[in-house]
Amino acid sequence: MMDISDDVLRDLHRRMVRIRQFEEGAGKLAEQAKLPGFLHLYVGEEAVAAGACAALTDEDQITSTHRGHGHLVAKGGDFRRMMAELMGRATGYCKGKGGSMHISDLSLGMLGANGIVGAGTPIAVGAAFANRYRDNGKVALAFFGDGATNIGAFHEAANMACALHLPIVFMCENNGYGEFTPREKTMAITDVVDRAAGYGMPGVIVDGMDAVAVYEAAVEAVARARAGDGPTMIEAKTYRYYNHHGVQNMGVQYRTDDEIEAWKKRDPISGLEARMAELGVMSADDATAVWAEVEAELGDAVQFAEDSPFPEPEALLSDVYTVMEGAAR
Amino acid sequence: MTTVGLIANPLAGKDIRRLVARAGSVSDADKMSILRQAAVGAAESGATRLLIAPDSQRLAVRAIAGLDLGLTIEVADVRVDGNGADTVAAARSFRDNGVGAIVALGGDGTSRDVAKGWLAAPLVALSTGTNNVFPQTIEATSAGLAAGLLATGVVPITSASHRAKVLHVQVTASSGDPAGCLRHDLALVDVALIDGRFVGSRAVWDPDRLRRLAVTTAEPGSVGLSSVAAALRPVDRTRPGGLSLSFGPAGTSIRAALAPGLFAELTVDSIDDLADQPITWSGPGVLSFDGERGMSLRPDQSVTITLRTDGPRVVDVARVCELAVEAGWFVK
Amino acid sequence: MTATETAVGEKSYVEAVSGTIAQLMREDDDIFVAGEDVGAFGGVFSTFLGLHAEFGDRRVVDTPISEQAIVGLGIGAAVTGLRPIVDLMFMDFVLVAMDQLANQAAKLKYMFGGEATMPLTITTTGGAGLSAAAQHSQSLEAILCHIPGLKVVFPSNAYDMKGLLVSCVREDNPTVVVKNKLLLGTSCPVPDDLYAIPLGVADVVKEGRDVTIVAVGRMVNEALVAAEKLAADGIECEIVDPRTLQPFDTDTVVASAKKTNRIVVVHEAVQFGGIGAEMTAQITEGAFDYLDAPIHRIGAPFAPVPFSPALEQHYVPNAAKIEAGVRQVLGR
Repeated sequence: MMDISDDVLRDLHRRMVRIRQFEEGAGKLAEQAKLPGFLHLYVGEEAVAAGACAALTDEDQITSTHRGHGHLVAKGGDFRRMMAELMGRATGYCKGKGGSMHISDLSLGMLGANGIVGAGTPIAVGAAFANRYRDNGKVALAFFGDGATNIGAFHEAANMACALHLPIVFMCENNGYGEFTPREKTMAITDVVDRAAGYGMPGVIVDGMDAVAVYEAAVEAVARARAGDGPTMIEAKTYRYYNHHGVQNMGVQYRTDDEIEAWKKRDPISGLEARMAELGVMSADDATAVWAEVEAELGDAVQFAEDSPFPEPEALLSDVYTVMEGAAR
Repeated sequence: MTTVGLIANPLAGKDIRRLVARAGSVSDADKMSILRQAAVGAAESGATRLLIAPDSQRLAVRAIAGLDLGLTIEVADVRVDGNGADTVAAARSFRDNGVGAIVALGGDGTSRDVAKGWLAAPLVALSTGTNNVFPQTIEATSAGLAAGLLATGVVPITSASHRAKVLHVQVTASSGDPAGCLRHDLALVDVALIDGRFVGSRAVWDPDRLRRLAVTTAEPGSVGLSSVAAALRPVDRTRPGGLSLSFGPAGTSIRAALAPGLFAELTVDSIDDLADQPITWSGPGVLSFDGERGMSLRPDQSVTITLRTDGPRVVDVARVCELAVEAGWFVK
Repeated sequence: MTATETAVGEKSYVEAVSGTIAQLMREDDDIFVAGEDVGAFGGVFSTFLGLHAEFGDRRVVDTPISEQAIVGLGIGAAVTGLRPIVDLMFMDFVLVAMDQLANQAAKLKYMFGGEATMPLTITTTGGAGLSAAAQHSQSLEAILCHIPGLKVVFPSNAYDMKGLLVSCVREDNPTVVVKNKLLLGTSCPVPDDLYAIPLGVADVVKEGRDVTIVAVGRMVNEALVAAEKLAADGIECEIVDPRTLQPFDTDTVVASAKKTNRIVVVHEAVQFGGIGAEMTAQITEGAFDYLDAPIHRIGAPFAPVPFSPALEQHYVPNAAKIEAGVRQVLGR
């Protein structure tokens, strides 16, 4: 049990506030029809990405999901390039070719959001393999949802990671719903982590609305991986405030207002802020200043994105392949 | 109507000690098997009703579904929030609805929650937790049967149980005004004051952060914070009195199993008997109850701990079965 | 032989795989091999024989039977800087791995705006003729060629296998190397040193003036047999082996069509929607005015690969069918 320093607390807070603001901002832009395509918002789940990524170095890798903005923000993603990508601009992380679901930053070890549920987990296994192959001390962490644990790729990845004893952390964000269907309709078990033993790795449950709890578990799991002790699964019980995609509920009632309100009462950011104020780590004014700072960062990013050009038509055919020097074609 | 209550804590046996120590996992499937065995045992006893707690995972409800037990099955009408309060509420409901004995699945924390809802609960606690000082490893079938034999009156509870010791905890502002009590709580095994500020992932495993410890029980061979006390001065769960320890840079060094598969070295500065007189600790720090961090203590807060033998009536399953044999109950 | 000349020896198609990979691995520590049974066993078709003995567990990795995770392992390792060679035992199993292959490996670079490089080589073994039935005999190259981002090679002999494999492994894009089962034991003169055959360059295996046979993989050999028989009747066939199917060397094929004016395309895969359909379209677009007869396509009938040799021999295209096709486009 490590003593969480004030710096780490402030770091967790900032990561969460950046995620919250970016996502709320993206939601507003979507409502103004300024963002093409799907938008899967991470609001509510901030403690998981923040707690996990704070336990990683910049060189450690993560794989992400369709709900991936929060993971990239937590890994240090650049608002400007993120927002430009969401708007399909040439200055975006993916030059407007990937969009929300494929946002990535290899320089930050963020190996991509992913539009296919569960598909990031085998890729994280590959990154973990490469880390051990090169003995570089890096760890890979795969984010995935509860729903992803029902797809084959996840099971193959978990089993292979354990069979090969790789430096990897499987970080499950269990928000209780696979898209719009509650967990109890899609699996006969209630805790995803019950599956960990079946692959031969330890699995633990943490409160996914508490960044400190997630951080503590992630630090231990990452240390375990780095020490060569193999994979770990962490199940963070969390909740998304908005729908599977978009902001509006589209008139479909699949969860109750009571349920949503009960989770919001455990909001990871306001909870940490209250505690930090009590401890004298961050006053309410200091917290407000962080929000204001991030709001300015967001405003700048939105402006940057709106001022950015769309990709030229000729960009359509570039980046399909890496052009090989001396290649015939 | 003779009623057995059944509770399973879905959160038990899944915390970070699988990572920081070498604790095993207890899956929902395992818990549901144990629940089925206990339910069958209770039905065999001749009890007429099974009152089950509606835990957040519906473990008990799902375990019992499809079993033809020949008794009435009811689900306690309590709110479910997916935390320890669910067990507290279920135990309270059991008390108010004529339950003769409870079978509870979990670890030390689960038994504590039962006691918080029903202090004098007739309790058979089955180990499905991480640290299991209070609950014991008992065949679930026999546990259900014993609970039923008590509920039906085949065996009188006074002849096969003991009252558990309880550490009653009062958190107050440091001004010391008892009227200013901020929170009541209790523990069945241990209360500790730990350096730190956050409840976080709850478990306690870092020996260097331990400042104060109070225990009801210190049995050599057990695992958890109470084993620290046991290393110096064993106290049986059925005997009166407990212990109060403080830790510091100087004193007696001991090694103890703080969690499954995890030994650590601690320096015990003082160890004193804990009788009826309350002890007081001052913040700041984090209080742990039965091995789990439960609340943060501010510098201006203090905590008063009083040991009383007024806890659950802990059922001796083997003794119940022996008395049933003596009464000829098994001969049909 | 002078010192600068490379030695040339008769090598089998299998040795062209295993020996070439060994040579590549000796010069680049970033290359590793992973797949089912590729370790001490050497692969079910012996195409990895000897690698484990030389390079050990670190670089020659036996995996679970998990095609998605095998390709995913390659993707994750490639995108973080290694140069993996992963094997999908049978080409039919490509379908099991299709998400990782088509949605991930092929598209990562584009989706990431060009940031990723994917030096991943996937080897697999296709083709009928061993009574391996419908799930272990398919030729699915057209499906792979349909996915932007992948490159696909289909060597028809040991010499091409070595040169194409070298290019694929050194390529910074995901490539699929299709091995053919019935070619495994065939051999031809192959230089000992490493050499590269550029991707996307067809080989005019045999020059002729009367008709062009564009043949894929093992069908090149069948075309050579047919050409020999036709030569006895004074028909001179030109045989073009595309070698790489994606990217496809349209220029060479169209040039040959303009020269001979009559075309037969042949592959072992099902004719409908096969790569021959794409070739036919490209030749029509590039050389329509030069064609003296409709292009004749030869492929497997629209049925799964049958088990019984009695059926399978009628299923797989062969020299006789090619000969008949040539006679048809020539009208003699």
